[in-house]
Amino acid sequence: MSEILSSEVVIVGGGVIGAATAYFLCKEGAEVMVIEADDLASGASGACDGFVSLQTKMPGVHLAMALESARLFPSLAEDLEVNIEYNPCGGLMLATSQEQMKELRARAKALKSGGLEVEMLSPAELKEYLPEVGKGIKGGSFCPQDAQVNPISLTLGLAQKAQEMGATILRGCQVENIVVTNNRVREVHTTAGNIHSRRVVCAAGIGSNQIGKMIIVDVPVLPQRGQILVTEQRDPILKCLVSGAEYLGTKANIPELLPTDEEAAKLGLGFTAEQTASGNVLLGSTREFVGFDSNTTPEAMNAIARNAMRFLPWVEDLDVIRSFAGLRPCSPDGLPILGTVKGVKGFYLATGHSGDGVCLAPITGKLLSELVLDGETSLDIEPFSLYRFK
Amino acid sequence: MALPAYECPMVVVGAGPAGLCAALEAAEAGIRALVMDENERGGGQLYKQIHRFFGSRHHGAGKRGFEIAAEMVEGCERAGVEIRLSSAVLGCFPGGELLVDGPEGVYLLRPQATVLATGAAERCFPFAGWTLPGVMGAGAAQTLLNVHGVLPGKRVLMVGAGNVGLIVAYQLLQAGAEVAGVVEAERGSRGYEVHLQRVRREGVPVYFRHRLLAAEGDEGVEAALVESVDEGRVRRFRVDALCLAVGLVPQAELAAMRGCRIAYADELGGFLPWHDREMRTSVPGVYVAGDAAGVEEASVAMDEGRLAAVAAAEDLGALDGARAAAKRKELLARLEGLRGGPTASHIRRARARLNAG
Amino acid sequence: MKERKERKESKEREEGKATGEGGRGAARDALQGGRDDPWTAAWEVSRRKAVAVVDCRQEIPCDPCETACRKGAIRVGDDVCALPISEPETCDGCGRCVALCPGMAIYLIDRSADGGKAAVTVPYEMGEEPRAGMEARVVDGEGKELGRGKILEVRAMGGAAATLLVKVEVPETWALKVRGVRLRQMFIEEPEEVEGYRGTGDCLICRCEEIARAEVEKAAGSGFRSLAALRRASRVGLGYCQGRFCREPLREELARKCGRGVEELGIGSPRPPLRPVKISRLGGGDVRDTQF
Repeated sequence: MSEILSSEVVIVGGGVIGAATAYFLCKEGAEVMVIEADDLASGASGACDGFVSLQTKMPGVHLAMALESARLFPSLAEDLEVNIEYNPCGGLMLATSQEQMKELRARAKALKSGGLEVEMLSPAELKEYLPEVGKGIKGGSFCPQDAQVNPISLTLGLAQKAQEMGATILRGCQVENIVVTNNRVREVHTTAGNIHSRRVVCAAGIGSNQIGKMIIVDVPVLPQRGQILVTEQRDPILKCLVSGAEYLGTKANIPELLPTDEEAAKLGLGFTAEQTASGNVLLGSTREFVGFDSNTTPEAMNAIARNAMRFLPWVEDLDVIRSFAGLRPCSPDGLPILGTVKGVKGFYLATGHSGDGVCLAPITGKLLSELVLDGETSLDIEPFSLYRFK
Repeated sequence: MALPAYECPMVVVGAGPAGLCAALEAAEAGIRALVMDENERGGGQLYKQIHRFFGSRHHGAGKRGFEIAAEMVEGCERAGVEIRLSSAVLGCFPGGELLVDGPEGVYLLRPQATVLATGAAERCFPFAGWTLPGVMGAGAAQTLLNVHGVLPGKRVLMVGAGNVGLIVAYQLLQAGAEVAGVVEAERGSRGYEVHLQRVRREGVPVYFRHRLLAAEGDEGVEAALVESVDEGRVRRFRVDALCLAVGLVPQAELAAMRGCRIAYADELGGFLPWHDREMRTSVPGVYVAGDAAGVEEASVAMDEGRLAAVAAAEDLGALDGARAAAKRKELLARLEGLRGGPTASHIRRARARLNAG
Repeated sequence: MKERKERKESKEREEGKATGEGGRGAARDALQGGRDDPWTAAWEVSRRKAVAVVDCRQEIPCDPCETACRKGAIRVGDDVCALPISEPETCDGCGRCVALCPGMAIYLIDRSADGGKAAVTVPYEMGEEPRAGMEARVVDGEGKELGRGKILEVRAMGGAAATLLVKVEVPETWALKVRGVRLRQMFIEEPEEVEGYRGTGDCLICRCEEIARAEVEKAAGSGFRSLAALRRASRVGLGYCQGRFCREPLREELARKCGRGVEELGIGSPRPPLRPVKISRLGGGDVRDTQF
């Protein structure tokens, strides 16, 4: 141990949540140290699509939080030096059956009452947004507030800005233990040395369970694999985000919207498509509980490709150049786990975003900053408490 | 509606000398291997070699590369080995499946044994102008010359005086191109003296301790700038093509995808799947041979392919221990012979390190 | 010979072998009858008949000359790297070894004709067609032109894709120097001096994503620890070729910047597909109307 490190706040995790938390804490003048076991955006934040999707949120607190987060994106795009490729392009969710249309209609109503703009579209009306859709498409819902961002640039941009404001970022640094005395966090022991700190934010994504164990708290976060295909670059061909109703079905576990095919159900297959600023089309995705295995599988690659042609037949002509898989930190109910833990002062959770990490990062960072520095938040985070689980 | 999947005892990825010899050896042990290759023809790099090969009678030495390739392909046909051409293996998954894109469509193979004989790729280095048309790898130039009968340029500068650079320089001359020179940063050639002499004999100047700085030109290469390392003197060679022969890199991606431990040996081209003397990788049922297991000669690749097949056949129970041991002894002795000379001291060093762990 | 011995000894030292009487070199010395080079004996015998001279000086794994000779006049032995030893008395001058030597390092000399002339037969593999009666440029091992010589005979030998054996008449004093004939003269233009060269500026490192070296250097210098992280940060190597061209230089760049060895950076986690594949193929053909 060459030197004794200390920091007012230690953030465990250099993903989008950790970076956003560091950014907002630094804005308030806090002294911040981010500890990252691998490298920035090396987990789920670097292996996901760029959906900032509001219409997939659960009406209620989840949606309210997402709306708050969405409001923060434009100013982040301004403030960060990195181009985060923020694009308020809107998002389309397609239905493949009248039953799905019915369900989407009901949800649109609920979302509207939660303050979201959602519009139902007939197959003919879809033409305004998409050149061609599959013959089985029965219509869809469009949310103009849905947007797109480059999740890696967002993470790197937030971290870089935090660093400029004084944050220290330790990469390749693993947490070995968190020392708690008199019910308060005192020290974080890491492979880079011991860090004195009275405040520790756990933004460790799928590693949160392991971090929780160090203070004898069970953080119920499980890795859920999502696989994505990346196509060659093309001139803009997708004006907005596109997803299938089954994507929402598998995400929020809505029985009416689950895939009916056995194999698709097994993979948790749900269609997503997004064209990035560089022109690649990202096609998704799956929801699989397979531990920490981040390999892509031939079954999923095939199923995603097949499913994509079902929604957007013209993608058949695109070359797939890469596949990747990310591990979403999933909580039992699919909502984030935010807040303090009982019996350990100075320990905060910002994890379990279950695939909404990119969308909810700005608001999470802001709320955590408030919680750590003021002890209270501008939005009620009680519904996201660890103790909502039995 | 899922991908079609086929079970088979053994798949060999790559129909070059290593892969074809693996398939031939497997056939001798009664295993019908399926050989996959993304090219339209079997034989790997041998197919486009018009020079006579080094090695011994076990390796077809003295014959031209394409002749050796044709003999091996014929041998495979006689032995009932199926070679699937234009079939690219897109992935090798931890479960053991291979994802194939071939004329039949995209499908999965589930072999009990997999021999990765994927060869090596040409190393590239960036310099100003390297994206100009006319700049190409020496291997690519060779394909143009010897497969398509097209001259890469009228006046060519070769970068790299190893065996590949010298052989391709000679073949450029054979096809009627002028070779303005061979540029090499080192003090001498890493290649065989005879290759150097053949090129010199044709009047081609070889510039040792010189390095390429840039390619110039608007729509294609018009000149190359070369600097003498010791004097710092810069000269412009007026050429319309630039061939790079600066080394080969084992293609270890499939092995890495499969979860094989990856080792590093500079002398063998860089990252490669770790393997024991018998060509077993760290993953049971996966074997490696040829340039994919470290860049060496075609003759070495052939014997490595046979060794890999012996190990696979033994592991599959098709070859009893005694017979496998006898075959292995012969092959290992042959390999030791091939690597016995002073020009292979770096290979021996790297192999010793690899075998030690 | 001395040089060869030294090389052998240094190799044996490197491998921890004892240098002793029983080594490979000793066996060859015995076979060669203590002669210092392959030429002395051949020179004498060539007075009477055409004889092969094996100008093979490097111990590389190669022995086709041994099997090429039907008279058993060339021996390599069990050690495929051993230098061949020829026995001029046994050689019948057939030329098969000349045709089959991959290094094109064997030739025939024949001084049986009088008048201070020698006939030298060399292998020829260039595109031009040598014919008897033509004049050819005769060159030495360095490519230096010794002068002109008349082609006496052209034979094809060595399988379907034969090698031409060109017999050329030269002054006897050249007999041991001749290594080849040239039928065309390449015009080797002298490269021009570039005065005051100031560098070429930046260059692309990733051609697909059009990312310049300076950009990569900047990203590599800002603390990324792996090629994967560098790729994420700069998009380098994420284009159509997926880094097939730029992976190695990138790794070297990153290693240099973070003061680590290339091997420490690791190979990364390659993901399928290794080659681009159309969605329609990956998805299993045209299934636009099928339902799950």
